[in-house]
Amino acid sequence: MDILPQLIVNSIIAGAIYSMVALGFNLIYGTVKFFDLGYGALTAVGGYSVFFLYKTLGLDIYLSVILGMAITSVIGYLIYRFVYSPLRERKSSGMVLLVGSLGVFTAVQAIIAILFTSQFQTLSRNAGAGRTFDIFGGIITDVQLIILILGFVIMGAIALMLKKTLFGKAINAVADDEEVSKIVGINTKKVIGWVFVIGCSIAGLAGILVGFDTGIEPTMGMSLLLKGVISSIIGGIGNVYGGVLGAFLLGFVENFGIWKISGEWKDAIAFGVLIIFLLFRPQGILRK
Amino acid sequence: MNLTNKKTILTIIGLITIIALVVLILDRRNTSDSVINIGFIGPQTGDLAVYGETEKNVTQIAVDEINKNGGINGKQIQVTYEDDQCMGKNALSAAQKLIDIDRIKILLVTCSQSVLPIAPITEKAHAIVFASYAASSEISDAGDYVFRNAYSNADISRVAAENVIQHHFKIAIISEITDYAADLRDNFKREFTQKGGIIVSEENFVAGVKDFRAPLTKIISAKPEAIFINPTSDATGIPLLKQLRELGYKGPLYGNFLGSGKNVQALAEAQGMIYFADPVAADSPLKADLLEKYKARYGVYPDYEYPAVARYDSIYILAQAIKNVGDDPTAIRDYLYQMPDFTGALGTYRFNDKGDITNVRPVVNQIVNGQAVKYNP
Amino acid sequence: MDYLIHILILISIYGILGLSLNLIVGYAGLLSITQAAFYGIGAYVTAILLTTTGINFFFSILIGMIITGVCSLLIGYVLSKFKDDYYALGSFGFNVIIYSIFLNWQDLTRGPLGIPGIGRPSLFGFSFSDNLSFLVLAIVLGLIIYGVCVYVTNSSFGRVLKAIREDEQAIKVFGYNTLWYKLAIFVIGAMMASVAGALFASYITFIDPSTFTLNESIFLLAIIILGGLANNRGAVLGAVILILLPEVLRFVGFPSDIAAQMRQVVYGLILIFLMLYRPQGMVGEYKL
Repeated sequence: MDILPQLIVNSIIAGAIYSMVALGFNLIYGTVKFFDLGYGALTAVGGYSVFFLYKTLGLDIYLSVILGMAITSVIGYLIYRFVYSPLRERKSSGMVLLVGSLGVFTAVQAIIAILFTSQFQTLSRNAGAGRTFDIFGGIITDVQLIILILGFVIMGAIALMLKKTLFGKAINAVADDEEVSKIVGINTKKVIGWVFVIGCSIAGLAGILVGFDTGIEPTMGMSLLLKGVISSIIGGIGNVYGGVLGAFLLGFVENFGIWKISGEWKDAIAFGVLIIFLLFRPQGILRK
Repeated sequence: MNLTNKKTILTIIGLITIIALVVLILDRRNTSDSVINIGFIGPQTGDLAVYGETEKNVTQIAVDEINKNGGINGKQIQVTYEDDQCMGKNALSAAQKLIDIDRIKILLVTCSQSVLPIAPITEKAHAIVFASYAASSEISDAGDYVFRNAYSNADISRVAAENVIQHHFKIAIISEITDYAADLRDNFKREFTQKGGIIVSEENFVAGVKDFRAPLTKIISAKPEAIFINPTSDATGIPLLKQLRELGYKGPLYGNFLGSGKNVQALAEAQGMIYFADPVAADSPLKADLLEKYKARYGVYPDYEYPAVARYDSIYILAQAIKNVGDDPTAIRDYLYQMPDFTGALGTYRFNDKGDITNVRPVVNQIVNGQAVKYNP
Repeated sequence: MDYLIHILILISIYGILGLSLNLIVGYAGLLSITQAAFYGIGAYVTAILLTTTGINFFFSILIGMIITGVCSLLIGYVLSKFKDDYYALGSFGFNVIIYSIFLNWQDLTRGPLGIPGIGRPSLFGFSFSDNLSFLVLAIVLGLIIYGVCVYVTNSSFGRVLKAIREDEQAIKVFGYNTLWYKLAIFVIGAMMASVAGALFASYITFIDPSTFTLNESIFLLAIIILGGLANNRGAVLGAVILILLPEVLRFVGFPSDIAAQMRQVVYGLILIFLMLYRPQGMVGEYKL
């Protein structure tokens, strides 16, 4: 292991995980324009669903992952249907939605802890380490590589969907101006509903992959969420590429930053970056 | 909707508040003299729940045994369990409730970070605190009524420094930021450097973090002769070990009590690690017996042997004290300081003048083929 | 009886915290989720001074207020550049940064080891070591702060704040320096929180960073939203309810593993239902 390549690889790994979280979060924000903090708890929902299906019930791994994502998107949709949608009908301010989503986050996280206990679990069944690859002197595991590749695949898929499909264009329309979209005849509630379904399934996937990489515990959502939020904001809020860019930027700043400053300041560094961006370029690097 | 009428809401709130206050003032546990009341404050939830659960399980085994044999002086033992998640302020709340409402003056406490904050209260209330797995070196001076048959971080650090220095002079240490690990780290640093060792790299990570690649990269690049890992639980310890190996580190590894956990011993990445930890109770019929009883009742052997064995002993020690001097805490305290050698599942020992135990020395083991094997430097 | 005194002391402390945050969120409309940081600064200043020097508790409160005042001035100034939900996210950031300082500046705060053995206040030879006398002290301080809040909110200063909350642009037109007002109330609120911190430190005799996390800030927000924003009585009411709630749950006999999580579920649901059905809380005069 050589230092510089390893640092770069570490940054890329961190960036990959954050970008997975940011992708869904940013998609949702771009469409409904509020910060859905409940999103964080959904990553735990994904991770625990797979834990239940794969480890407790013993189902096949691919089936577990797909079902896990499905469960997460269903729950995410229900939350939208019963909490966010009514609030938006009343033209509630972004702050109300933020506080409501905070409530969602707290409640969902605690329910998971009740159902599964607060203990840390790993998703992988095997006791030994996975395969590792040496990339120019930096080492990365198979799960981490999967996260990286999937992240780009999903980013590409979403970008493609937004640009080429009719549905994607509808999303863009709603994101641009919801009122006008309604007038033009777009069923905005349905579109937004699907955005939540897609976004939350990505959240579930993020939680599942993190579960395979390090493990799951009910409180995992908070830190993933915060990193996802920071990534989205600094990279370009509402822009699908922005979330990914921000994620990798954050990964690099954190890892190279800790090189000079001690590791325990990692969170402070991340938020420091957020505040700097909020001060000087609140819309992020890439424009919507 | 009438329910949201301001007056109605205020009335409802008022009623709830009054009911709550009444409940608080009036509620009483069974405090009659025909029972011996003991309180238990330990983590039932959270990352450290495994320790609290282990202690609770053996407490129940011991209490049921004693009760079945007629209790102590004819009285049955009743234990009230409180969850503190190993957090000081929760322990404080629990201690106050146990002492003030339930009138319990004998407390079994699991975590160091619970013992230390409640000690001023228990000292004032003359309540016994008995810890079996709390290792903070500060507990030795926490109070007259504070006893433990746990070992102290001061002991572990000394033994660790003695061992490490025989093979390695330049080491790196990575610790979790919790009071246990910080206490151990500070003691170890002092002992190790006093013996002439050098800490070439020291990293700390926030409790609960799961991504250690950055600090690990740093310490590996400092080219230490060995690395000492100092996490507080499996939740951080296992990912730490995995990532250390993923980064390609193949050198010598030292660890703290974590190595005594079954999950860690089974881990491929932990093989070869030399750890300093929980003294292993010498194999004895009492210990084997307890482990079998545990397995019979709970289906598995305890994850960590020391707290199981020590806590089991603690119940019997208290029972012995109560049998001799009754359940007044001050009398119990005096008895414990003067207690003759007690032979339990943990071994044979007695208390010194600080309420710590003598005769039980931290163990030095190495993980080989999924088992802990005594290590001879 | 002792236990009741314990609960009443906690209610006093959290009542002060609620009142302090209410000034910022309820009256000025600034969604600040970092009050725990100021609570913490007050607590640590008192803890450190009382354990390392012979300074009197009441002086330590003053010193704590000054230090908190300076910190909050800087933080409030940076935050004032943000709007609404971005303000909230920015405030998260500062909470995390200050928490990191509590945790990592070990030479000063002993980090995770915390500071045990903090003494009780003493005044002219009288020591407040008995809980009942401490309760009296807490209530007296609480009443003073309550009085200050009532004065502030009923004064012309308070009226300007409410105007800023309703429509900042409009009042700027009239020539009011809204930045100054927002900063002023932020600092006042922060200093009050530090008083609560000093009380907490001396009462519990032991503090560690885990009390002053983002979760605590969210809890404080729940208190004032439940009680009702922009209503001083509401802030205290919210504190009463949310402090009593877990104690009632504990007695109702939830198995202890579940009780702590149930409490979180209830907090979350309270936030959600309040936002959905009664955003002004119990007796509030302002909806987010």
